[in-house]
Amino acid sequence: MVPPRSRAAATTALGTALEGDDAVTLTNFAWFAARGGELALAHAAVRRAVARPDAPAAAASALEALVAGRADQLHLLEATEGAPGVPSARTASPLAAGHQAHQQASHAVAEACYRAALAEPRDAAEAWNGLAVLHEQREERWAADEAWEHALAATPSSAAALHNRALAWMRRGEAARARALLAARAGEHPPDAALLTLSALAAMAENDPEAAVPLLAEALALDPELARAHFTLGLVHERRGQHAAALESTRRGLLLSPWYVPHVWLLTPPDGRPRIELAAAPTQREAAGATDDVLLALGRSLLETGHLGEALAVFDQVLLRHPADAAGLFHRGVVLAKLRRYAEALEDWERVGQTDPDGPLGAMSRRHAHGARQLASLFAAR
Amino acid sequence: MHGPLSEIGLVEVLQLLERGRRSGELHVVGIDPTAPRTVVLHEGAIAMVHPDASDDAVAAWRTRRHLAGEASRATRDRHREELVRRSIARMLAWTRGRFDFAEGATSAGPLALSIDQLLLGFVEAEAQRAELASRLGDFRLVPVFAATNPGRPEGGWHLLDWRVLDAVDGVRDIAAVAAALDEPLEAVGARLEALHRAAILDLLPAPPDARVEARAAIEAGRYEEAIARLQARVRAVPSDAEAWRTLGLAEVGAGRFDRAMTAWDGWRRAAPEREAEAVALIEAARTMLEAMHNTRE
Repeated sequence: MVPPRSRAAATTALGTALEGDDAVTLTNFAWFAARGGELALAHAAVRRAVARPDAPAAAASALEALVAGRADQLHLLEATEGAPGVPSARTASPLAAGHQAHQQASHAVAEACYRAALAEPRDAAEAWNGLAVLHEQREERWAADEAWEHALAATPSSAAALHNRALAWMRRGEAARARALLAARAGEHPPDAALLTLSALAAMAENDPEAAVPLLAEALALDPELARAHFTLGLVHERRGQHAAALESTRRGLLLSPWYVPHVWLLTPPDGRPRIELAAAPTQREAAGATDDVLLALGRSLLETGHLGEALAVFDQVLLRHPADAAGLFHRGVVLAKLRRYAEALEDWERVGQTDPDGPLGAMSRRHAHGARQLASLFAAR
Repeated sequence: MHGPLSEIGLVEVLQLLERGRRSGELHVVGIDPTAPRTVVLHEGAIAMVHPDASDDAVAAWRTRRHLAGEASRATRDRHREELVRRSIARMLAWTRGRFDFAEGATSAGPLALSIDQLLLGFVEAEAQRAELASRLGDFRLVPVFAATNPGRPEGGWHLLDWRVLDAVDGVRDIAAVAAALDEPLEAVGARLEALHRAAILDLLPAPPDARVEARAAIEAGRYEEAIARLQARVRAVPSDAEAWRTLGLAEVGAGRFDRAMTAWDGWRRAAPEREAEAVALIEAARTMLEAMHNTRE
């Protein structure tokens, strides 16, 4: 008689036999495999499950649990409870499921879906691009670069892959390299507003606002509603001392979006649907920081162009979020002084002196405060 | 409406209430007075059994079956129905205790089960159990993982299949697997047959039944031999309730009441539905132990 198999050998054989099964069966097999300590088999099965068009939400949870090393949190799944976790993926592809999971920050699920999408030649380049972004978000830079190599080798004209690769280099502090890449590949794809805006940001990062102006103008000609291009142009003008133009650009940006998110990852869905943008700043706080830069620039432009009431409102907005922001306090002090509200200006400048005693704003604030104190005493005497 | 279960069985009570389309609460106390049940009836149909099919019981049921926490109401009610079915089946076997029916308005649901339908279901399950027992060596065959390439169970995979596979250890027989999973013998037997046909499992003949041999030894007064056999059995299959019960008997035969209490405690854990009987025997053994202690003093 043939001796029976061990549980481990039986699990391996079952895993192979279940290759083409549905997502619920694969998820339940993963539970069984994990209970027997066969975590690699469990992981492989659940990755196949989440890439299925009928993948239920519990399959995604199982994958997240396995990735987090919580194999004991796997559950059995009833076929009747098979509510799909990624609704649009029911009729779409693993790539679409990957994009959706990526947008929901369900990274392990997204990775499984992207890997499944690699098998479809039509989707492979974008799947590599999605994988590259995932790796970059996890700071797995070598893997990200390799994935972008694959993406660009498969589709050299992929604007999203090119954009993301350049953005990754910029965020790693290699703005010159990013700029060179974008310039070198400019002729390989149709004009693209996102790429032009990124080129402008790279130019700004290299302190070259003059080069950024025509790039942003072209970007806005292609896509007049690209908020980050308007905001960036506002910063460029402000850097060049053109306060009225800065004001106009920033106001247009604010009409389109309350947030300035300069760095976004681009994903290209199949079937010609609109591009997906994922904020590259990992936290809302960083995104808020970028917005504050714009608001400060806007406030300065308003100040320079004599719109004191609006400037005051803008600086108030910045200080509402960050009450100790030295630049916000300093400039609001200037606005208040221009409005002859010397006591309040003095208060702001004194706070700058406390929060940034050794910085240039601190030194300037102390000088201003001295003058304001004298003026305030004059007003008090009167 | 009230009375002792020794005079009128619960099945007759429930049928009477169904025929009369009565609403109210039927309080039933069985052999364990500390664990009363309340059957809620709405127009004669069984709507609920407390506490066996409460929300907490359903949640615990799902947890024991490794099911994900969230479930639709329809799914939860399906589980609740199974819990009611089991609870009623246990209660129908009670011949001691009493019932009291308090008529009153009740709301419909969550269930609406007919006692006649439940009885038919019990009869069908019994018939299926008997049929499977004849094919599966009285549920004493031992499932092991097959060495051949596995296929797909006929009709597709069932949820129970994964727990059955998880319980396969090459030692426990079908009855022990069913007991460990807290699932009906016929359900586990049917799935094991399907998994066997799909070449996923083999079903091996059982080794000699330690319980039968131990019982023969007890009847012949060879208590130590019976104890040795039964101890080996419960070590191998801790869920074998009958082996624990018989071990207790053998220990009593050998005059060791303290060990008998331990064995019956094992029985109580392996067969929670027979807790009242186990507790009664443990109490009896404790009384004997105290009596012997007093005699020695």
